[in-house]
Amino acid sequence: MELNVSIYSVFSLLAASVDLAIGFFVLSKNYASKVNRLFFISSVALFVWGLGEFLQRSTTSYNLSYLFFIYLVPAGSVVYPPTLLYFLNNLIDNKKINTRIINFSLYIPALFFLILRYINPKLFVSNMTLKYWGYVPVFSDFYFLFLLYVAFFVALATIISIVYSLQSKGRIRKQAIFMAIGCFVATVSGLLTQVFAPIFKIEIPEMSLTFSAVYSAFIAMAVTKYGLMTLTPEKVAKDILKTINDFIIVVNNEYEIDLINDAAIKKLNYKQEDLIGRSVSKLLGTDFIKIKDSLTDKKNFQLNILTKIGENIPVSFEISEIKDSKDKIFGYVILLRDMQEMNNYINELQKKTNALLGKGKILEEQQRAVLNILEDVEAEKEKTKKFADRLDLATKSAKIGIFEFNVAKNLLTWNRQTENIFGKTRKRLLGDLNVWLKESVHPEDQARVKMEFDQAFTEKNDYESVYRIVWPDKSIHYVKHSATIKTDDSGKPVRAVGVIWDVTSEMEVDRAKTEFVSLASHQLRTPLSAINWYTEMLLAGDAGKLNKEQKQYLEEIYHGNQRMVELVNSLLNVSRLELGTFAIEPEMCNITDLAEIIVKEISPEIAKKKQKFTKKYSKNIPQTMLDKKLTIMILQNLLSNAIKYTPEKGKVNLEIGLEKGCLQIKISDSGLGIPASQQNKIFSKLFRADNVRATDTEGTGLGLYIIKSILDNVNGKIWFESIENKGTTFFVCLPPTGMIKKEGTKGLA
Amino acid sequence: MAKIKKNNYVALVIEDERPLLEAIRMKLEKNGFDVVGARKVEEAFNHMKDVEKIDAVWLDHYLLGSENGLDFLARIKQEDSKWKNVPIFVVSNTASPEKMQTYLRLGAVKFYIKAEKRLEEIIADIKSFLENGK
Repeated sequence: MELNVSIYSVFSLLAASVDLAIGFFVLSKNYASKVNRLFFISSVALFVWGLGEFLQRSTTSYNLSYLFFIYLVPAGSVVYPPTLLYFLNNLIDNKKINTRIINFSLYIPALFFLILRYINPKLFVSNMTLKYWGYVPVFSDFYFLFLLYVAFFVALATIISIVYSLQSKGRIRKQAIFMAIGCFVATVSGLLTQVFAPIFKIEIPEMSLTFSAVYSAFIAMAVTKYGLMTLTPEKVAKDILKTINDFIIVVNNEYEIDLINDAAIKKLNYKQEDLIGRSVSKLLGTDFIKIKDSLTDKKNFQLNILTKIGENIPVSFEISEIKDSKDKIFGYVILLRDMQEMNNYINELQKKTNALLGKGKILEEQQRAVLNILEDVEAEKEKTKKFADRLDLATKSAKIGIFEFNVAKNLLTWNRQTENIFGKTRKRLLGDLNVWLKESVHPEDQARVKMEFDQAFTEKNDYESVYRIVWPDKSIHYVKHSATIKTDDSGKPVRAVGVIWDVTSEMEVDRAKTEFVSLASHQLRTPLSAINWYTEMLLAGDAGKLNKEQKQYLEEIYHGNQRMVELVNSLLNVSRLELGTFAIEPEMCNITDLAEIIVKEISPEIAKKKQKFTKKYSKNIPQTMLDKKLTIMILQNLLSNAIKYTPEKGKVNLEIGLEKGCLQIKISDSGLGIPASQQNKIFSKLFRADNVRATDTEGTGLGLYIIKSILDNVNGKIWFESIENKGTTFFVCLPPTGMIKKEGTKGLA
Repeated sequence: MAKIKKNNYVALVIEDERPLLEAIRMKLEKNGFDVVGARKVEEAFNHMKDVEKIDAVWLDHYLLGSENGLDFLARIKQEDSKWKNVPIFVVSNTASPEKMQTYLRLGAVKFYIKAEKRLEEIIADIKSFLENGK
């Protein structure tokens, strides 16, 4: 066969080939999809059409050209228009229109034209004539009807694409716009060159096929750029299955596993091949089918799922049937939700609530409400919603707010109650940590709060903090918060969860207590000062010379008054300890330095009583965080007791060392000792043993009580060994890690 | 008010309790001081303005009126105060460590607990400070 190829024919063939290539490309994206297969068929039809036209135009033989036109061209040109519509109908997939009947009826005109063109070609073409671009048919009257058929179908396809692109949204819209532009260009060019040109007797080659390459190009862009015919529901569904955290198991009628999603595989420690085809009772137990049948609503049921390593994971359970269009059951979809995390979350909340119960000064009723909740939670953890509602109620009645800080997002979220505590009424209960600090925390407390927060995250410690907040009306309130730092598997802190409550009234009570002690100390000491000073002046002879007896009586007054001052000091210390308003302010120091201060102070007394004093400090005593005042008070009290209750020429010994996890002070004497029958009362307030009361009337009975209270407050201990008339040894154990700072309003004096 | 002699030290005693103020005054005068007494802050400032030369101030914490010893100290130690170098000795029965520290930080020379100190000891300290600067 000889060919005489014109440039127009080449374009035409090229375009048809591009179409075919795009058809293969689309098919390769998802060969299982009906839409993709229909597109492929339409591109094959277009190619056949193009190939036929190319051969018909390019052959030099009149007869061959005629044969190509009547046999090859219709195979493409007649089949293409309905296939294009069929493809679009499936792509858009409107259930009312995408029906078998409509799709089938699309092919009725095609069938009619195909049969007619093969049986009686003369109805469409009278003969062939040679133009400058090759042989073209001279159309008979019927051909015009055929052209109308093609033009109508293609124009309809264009309109459908345009309407579709206007109605859809997002990604689909972008896909549809590209398709509509392609359709539009090809259709308009076809109408111009193949319908209007012959009507107006203009001699130009038919160009619709050439422009179909433009259509193909747009389709290709829609496929590659926006996933046309690529992101199908089936594909997306698979991806969703992969990302979902719940366990999804599809079983057949015999409850054999057809499909199980990745989350379940991972959590259960199995491999896919271990489970596919096996009975689901392997995972859910043999009673599962009975349980399933007994369920009425098939929802919210809890059971355990068994992992490969034999661990039972609590899961909530839902099951639904898989039915075909005739309601025949083919199997079941089982949806399991891991309740372990949910339970962990509940436990965490419960722990937090427990802590609150221990610490907060919540009214008894409120405590009972929370306790009730805790009991309920123990009994029915799966009813998380109920729990959440009641917790909400309890926290509301106890005025406890809940907050959470997410590290990765730097996002602080809080509940309505927290918002109330801050005196605000915003709708959005989330925000930036720094913004919150600036807006709500008292300017003088901001730096400290931030520092404590950062420190908790660095040390991954639970922590508590009390600070002032400023309400929008400028009033100042005290709040206390308690937070737990949560870490991920690698130990990196991810969030802080905590509770917050208003402690303004507690702080006010504290302040009132402190003010009371302060005033009391002033009021009690003032008259004592007057007695002191006037006695002092009389004794000094400022008001004239005194005789011996006057002097002696005044000295008794002076001495008695001194004892009164000491007693007042002790009583004030006791009230501070009991009111809990005293502060512990540890600083780095060496306990032996503190001991030396006291040793120096007591040495005149020892010398006076001619006692033998020995001391022994271990060499390994480290620098420790100690409140100097409190430590000195302990040493001073015990040593002066030892001296006071040891007769002349007796022995007093002081030892300091590290013993069995203690920074230990040991003070022993060869003194009166404590009667065995009274040893259990020795730390009681105002208690004095019989034997010391008989020999010395001046003790207050408060010294050991104060020391014991101090040691209770700094996590220390005190005990003794004593035999009456032989001596006593006191042991004090201070935590070797030192004392912990306690905010208070007063130190002991 | 006692007559002020030329060569004596002058002490301003600010103390609200009249018996205590009298005792201090007598003891100071015995020790060769001239004494002016005040029972509230405003009164003390009036004396400061009237008396040319005040060598030392004896200060209590709780005073009559709304202001206390800390207010007096804070005012007298202000940058533009012409009395900011006058030594202040605080003698009070309100003796929490915090309060003591605040007084010392604001520039008081010493803090004594009233009920625990003899007048003679305090006066000896003041004298030694005025004579030796310590």
